[in-house]
Amino acid sequence: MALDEQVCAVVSANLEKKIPVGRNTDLRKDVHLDSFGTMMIINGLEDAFSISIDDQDFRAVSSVGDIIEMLRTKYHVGG
Amino acid sequence: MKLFEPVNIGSLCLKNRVVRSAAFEGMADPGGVPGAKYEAHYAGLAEKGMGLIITGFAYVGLDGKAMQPGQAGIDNDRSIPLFSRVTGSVHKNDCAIFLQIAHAGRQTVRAACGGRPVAPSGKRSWYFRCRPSPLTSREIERIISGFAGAARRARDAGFDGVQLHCAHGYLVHQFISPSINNRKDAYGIDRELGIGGYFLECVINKIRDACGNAFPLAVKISGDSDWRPGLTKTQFVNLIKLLDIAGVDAIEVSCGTMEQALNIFRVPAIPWDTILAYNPRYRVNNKALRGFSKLLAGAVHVPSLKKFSPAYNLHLARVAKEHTTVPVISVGGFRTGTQLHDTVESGSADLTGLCRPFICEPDFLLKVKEDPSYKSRCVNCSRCAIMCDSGNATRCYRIRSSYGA
Repeated sequence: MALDEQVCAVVSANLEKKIPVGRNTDLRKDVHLDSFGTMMIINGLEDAFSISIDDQDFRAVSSVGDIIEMLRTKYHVGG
Repeated sequence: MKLFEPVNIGSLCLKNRVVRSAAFEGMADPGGVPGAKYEAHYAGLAEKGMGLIITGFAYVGLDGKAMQPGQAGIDNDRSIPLFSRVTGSVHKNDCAIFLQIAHAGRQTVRAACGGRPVAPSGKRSWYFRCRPSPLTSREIERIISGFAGAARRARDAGFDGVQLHCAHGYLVHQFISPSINNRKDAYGIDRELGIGGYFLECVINKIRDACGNAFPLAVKISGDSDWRPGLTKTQFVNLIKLLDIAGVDAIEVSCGTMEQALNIFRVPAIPWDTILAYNPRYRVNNKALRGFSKLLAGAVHVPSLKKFSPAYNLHLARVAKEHTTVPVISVGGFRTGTQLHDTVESGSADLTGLCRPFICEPDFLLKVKEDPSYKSRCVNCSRCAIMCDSGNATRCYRIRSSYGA
């Protein structure tokens, strides 16, 4: 599975309310992500990719696409 | 009294009456050394507005190390600089921190404590599947000194106080309990009090000798247990009076033992998937057999399970409050800001303690400050507690993603 698909699947699986998730999904406007949701997604990503994510890094992301780029550049996930 | 008013625990003034009660971290290395993750965990929590953080239990000696992987230890001076980093980070955020110190007694396994577990008596632990070695007087004195050494190290590392873990079936609780302690010496059950208080008194006195009376000393007790016979109300009151006379600085009232840990946490439904996948006592690697195991274990445990209700230990705190002027912390079942405010304003307890709501929402209290009726997202599934046995750092598992159950 491509990284984009994997990340979308993890984000979707960790939301309290199930909504379609794509690369352009905005974490605040579309998902209304709060501290609980953020923690769930970070946990899910850590499990899926066997990495440890710094909470500070996550503060800078605003969309699912940002998460994908963060994982690629900072955590070297997905080649 | 108001929730966001200051309160004193001994000489220490807390900025408000909300305590992050002890919650196991699973963030130390196999030698009990708290590393960067442990420090970051507490530094992050300290930003979230609570008056006091109480750490997860740290062992005072290797023979008292608990079964859960990743437990921190305060059994030697080498750990002082490492814990100093933790307290330094917490204090930057105007938050106080106590180290909870504990000896597991019979509630552990050989692999963790390095030999046969010890206890006041040789009575068998059903859950831990061990018949412990009864402690000799000399061994007891060594453990008492171990508690004092641990408290002294905590003070030297900059902790604002210590909490002595006398609850949940660990060693001090084992001495207190008439159903476990059948000793005939001074450490046995006091005929007048109906409980075994001498060991507890010795530990408190030794800590005072080591750290001085000004160093805040709190205790955590179980107002009831799963052992039968449990504490009667009279015995519970006698325990409170003993602690009052001993001059402790705060009493946190919980209930239960690790023998039936779900009665400490109270669950709406037993999370069998997680238990059968991760709990070392119930783990079934063959998924096909898990259904059968669930039926079997359910038949044994379900009848004795207590149901979750809001503030489920508050009745015990109220009893304690009637018999002491020492600040009483109630822990267990606080899930809304309203419950926190009501508890303090009604005088049912002086402080409120929470664990799981801070695991899934470290900023829970900041939300309560904005909205006094805010409701926690914690649904009491208690997977966070069950996963303490998994070797993973403690976190919320409310929404199952890929943790493999």
